[in-house]
Amino acid sequence: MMQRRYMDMEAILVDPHRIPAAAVHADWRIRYAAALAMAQHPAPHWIPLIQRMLHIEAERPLYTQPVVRFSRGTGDTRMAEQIGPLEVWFDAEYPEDTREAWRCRGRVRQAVLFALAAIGTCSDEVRDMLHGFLCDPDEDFAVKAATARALGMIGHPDSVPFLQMAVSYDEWCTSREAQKALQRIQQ
Amino acid sequence: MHPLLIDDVADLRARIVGNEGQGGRQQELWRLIRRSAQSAPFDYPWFTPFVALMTRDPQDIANAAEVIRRYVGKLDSMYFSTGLQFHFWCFAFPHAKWCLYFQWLCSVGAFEDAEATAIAEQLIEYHFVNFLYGLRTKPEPECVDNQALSLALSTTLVGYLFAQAPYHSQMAVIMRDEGLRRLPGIVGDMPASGYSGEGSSYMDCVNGPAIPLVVELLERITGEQGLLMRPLRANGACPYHVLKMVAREWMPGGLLLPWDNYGYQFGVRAALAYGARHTGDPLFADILAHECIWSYDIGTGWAYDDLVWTLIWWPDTALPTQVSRSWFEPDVGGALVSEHRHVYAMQMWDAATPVVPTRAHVNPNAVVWNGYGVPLSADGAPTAQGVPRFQFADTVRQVNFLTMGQIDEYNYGDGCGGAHSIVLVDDWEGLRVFGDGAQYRAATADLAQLTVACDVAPTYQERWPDIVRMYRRTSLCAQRFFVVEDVCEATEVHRWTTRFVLRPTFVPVSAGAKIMTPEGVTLHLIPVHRPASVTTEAVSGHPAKPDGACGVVDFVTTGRCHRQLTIAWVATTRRIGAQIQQLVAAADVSGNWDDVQARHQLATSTLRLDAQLPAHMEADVAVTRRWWYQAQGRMPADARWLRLPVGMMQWALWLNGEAVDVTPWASSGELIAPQVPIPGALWQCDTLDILLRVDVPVSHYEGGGDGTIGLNGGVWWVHPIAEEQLLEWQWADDVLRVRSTEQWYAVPYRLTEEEGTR
Repeated sequence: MMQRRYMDMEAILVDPHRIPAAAVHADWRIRYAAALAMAQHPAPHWIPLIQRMLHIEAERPLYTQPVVRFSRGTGDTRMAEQIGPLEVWFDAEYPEDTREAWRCRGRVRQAVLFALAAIGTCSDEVRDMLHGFLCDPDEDFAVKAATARALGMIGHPDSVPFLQMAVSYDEWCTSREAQKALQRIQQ
Repeated sequence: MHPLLIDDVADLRARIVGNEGQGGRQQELWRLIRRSAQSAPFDYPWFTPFVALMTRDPQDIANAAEVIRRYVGKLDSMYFSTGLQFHFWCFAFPHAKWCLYFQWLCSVGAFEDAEATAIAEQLIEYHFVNFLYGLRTKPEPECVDNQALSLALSTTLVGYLFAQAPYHSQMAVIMRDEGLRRLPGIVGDMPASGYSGEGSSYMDCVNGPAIPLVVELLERITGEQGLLMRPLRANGACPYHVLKMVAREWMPGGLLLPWDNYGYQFGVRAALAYGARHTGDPLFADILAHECIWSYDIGTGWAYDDLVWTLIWWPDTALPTQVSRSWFEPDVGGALVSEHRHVYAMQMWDAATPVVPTRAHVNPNAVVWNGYGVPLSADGAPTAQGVPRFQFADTVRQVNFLTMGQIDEYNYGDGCGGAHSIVLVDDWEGLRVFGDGAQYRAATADLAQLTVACDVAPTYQERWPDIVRMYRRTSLCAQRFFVVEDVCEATEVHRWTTRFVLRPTFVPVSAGAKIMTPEGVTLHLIPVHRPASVTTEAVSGHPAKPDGACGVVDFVTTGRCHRQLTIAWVATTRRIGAQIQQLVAAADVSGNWDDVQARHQLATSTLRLDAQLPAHMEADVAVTRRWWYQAQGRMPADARWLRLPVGMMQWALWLNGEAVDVTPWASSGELIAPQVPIPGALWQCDTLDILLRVDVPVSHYEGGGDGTIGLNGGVWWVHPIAEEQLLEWQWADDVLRVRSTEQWYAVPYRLTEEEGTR
């Protein structure tokens, strides 16, 4: 299965005709590759597909992972240096698609946001979704920073109050991208 | 297939394996790496692929292949860790290293083709979905730090590796191109000084080790040469300057400057070896020869392979190793070091992080001292339990974006001005800056005259606009003592405090304040120009290292102007004598011998070691945690202490059969060699029976991510000497006259002119 997925991801990146099917594929890694491919071939005709991709992500429990235990270590940065064997234990049994959502978190969203930034425009509904990412306290900072960046590239004045709010965030990447986006919009 | 980043593997094998039996530091290092990897290949996994590449021994290759399988086997679990999800840069760099070592092992046929393909696909996909994602979180181009460097370098490396035959991966092409697009800018936009502002820990453990890899990789990809000595962006750092700054952070004795929240720590070596090999700058060779220790292991770029790269980049030719260690960097600070390196001071004015100074502390013009290879100043962060002394009500921060579903709260008060050896104004210990403006001006130095100076008024003017000058000049006089001159001026009246934060313990003096460290080194500070009230305060729990405590000295005046001349007199009360060599050694595999059982075992042991390094690094013996050493010999008549190895774990000592209380060195012994007093009752003995129990690390990981040290440095007699004490001091007629118990010093010293008289 791994080899098939790898081959699919490779194929998407060399053949943009595969993007539409890949963008709604069941495997989030393939959707991630599709979003990267869109950024390499940016065009407004991707926007409905992007909107669909964001809806798919919105239906997933991306940020509901409970605290887990590891057979060694505590899950922090010190595990970076280790090799296995290393197991993870959950507090209960969870379906594989839920675990897949926890693996993914904001990766597909970030890739989609970079595609939107490359395209430089979007629909009102997509823009509203982006504003929602900036306001959501549970959203990962990688997504918030990419959202601010994308809104700056899209350049719609309705985004200004959301970006002004994001400038005040404690997380530096988001705050910095929001500052730059505001400068771009207000130029 | 050629192992990437190694120019000539046959030549390297000839240099390393072919010369194994010869003496010298390079051979000592190779034997240490080989013994560790062959004895415990999965506990020292970061050595194992390199050993396989060098020896080509089938068992070494099989072990190394298994290491790669174990690494790949842990990857899925990491998705559920806060580490991978929120601190991805820590995982990106080691991932790239494992990709590199996988390629090395493929070059020696460690895997069948099908397995190699399967492993490669997992490595490529993992980097693509985790670390390309991570790199794209970092704002471009302004994010220039160890995290962005880790992500850009690792993405470039993994991309370059797998874009080539036999993989030809399109994911790899995208990663290579994205990494390559950003990497030169991240290095090139570092300050021209080479100092990223992130303290010794990230300079030494990430930025420094990354630079040689950046240069080697970019030269291979672009075909350009000479990138080490060339700025990668206009007005930015040349990669060599980053390496130079890494070298400059070393103090005599082997510890690094304690100017970030991690405080004192040992330095790593590969960046120095690379600098020595490729620049010929004798500073690098000097530190390699005199300060480095091999038994310290820490993640460099979160990979425990610093010693491997040290060996790969070891200079081919002997380089001069006696150079001036004084330095000055206009945007950072300056160090003054005596010719014999017995006394050292560094004055710093590097910019603090605005608002929340967790990493780059607020230390405008702070001075740190070192004497006889021992740190004398205290800096860093408090013990894990925290202490209220430098925690303030308005320096609490809550962070909710670096973990899953929880809020972390911490107090960053220890990063503010009050915890540093600076001038405080109106007792505001929470001194910090909020704006992005300059924090200093007019930094100058004359290294021929051994003096550095800077005005840090901008740091203070945010809060006190009436302050016009916060000038400090530090000078090394007569190669013997320091003078710190403070000239602070304002249009309003203020309370000024010249503060010094020192290691314990205060000893009584008639003037000023004086400490004596557990190693018998003293620092006497005396205000000589104008009367000041002198207070001292012992603080427990701050900083965590080396002592878990410090002493604060304040010289206080009030007025519109604060002029102070502080003499800093460093002396020692001890002399290191002869080394006790060839101790009888025995491995306690069960780990539960008592001293009686140990003596019994030692009586029949034929193993003789110098306790310079953990036994498995010093001799061909199996990796074992607990070791016992015994020496029985004639005691020099005036020996009063034993200097034991630094970095001993769970150690115990018996002298002539009596257990010695070693708890006083429980904390400091991790960084500074303990000097244990020989009890007075034994002074008249002709012989001394020394029995030492010590645990050593049996893997890379014993330090829990903060570095692992195994015993280092051997056992030495220590003798008392008469301390050269300060008796008289006076500044008059532009001359500083100082009399010690040994001689008079008369040093021309002209005070800095006051603003109003210039």
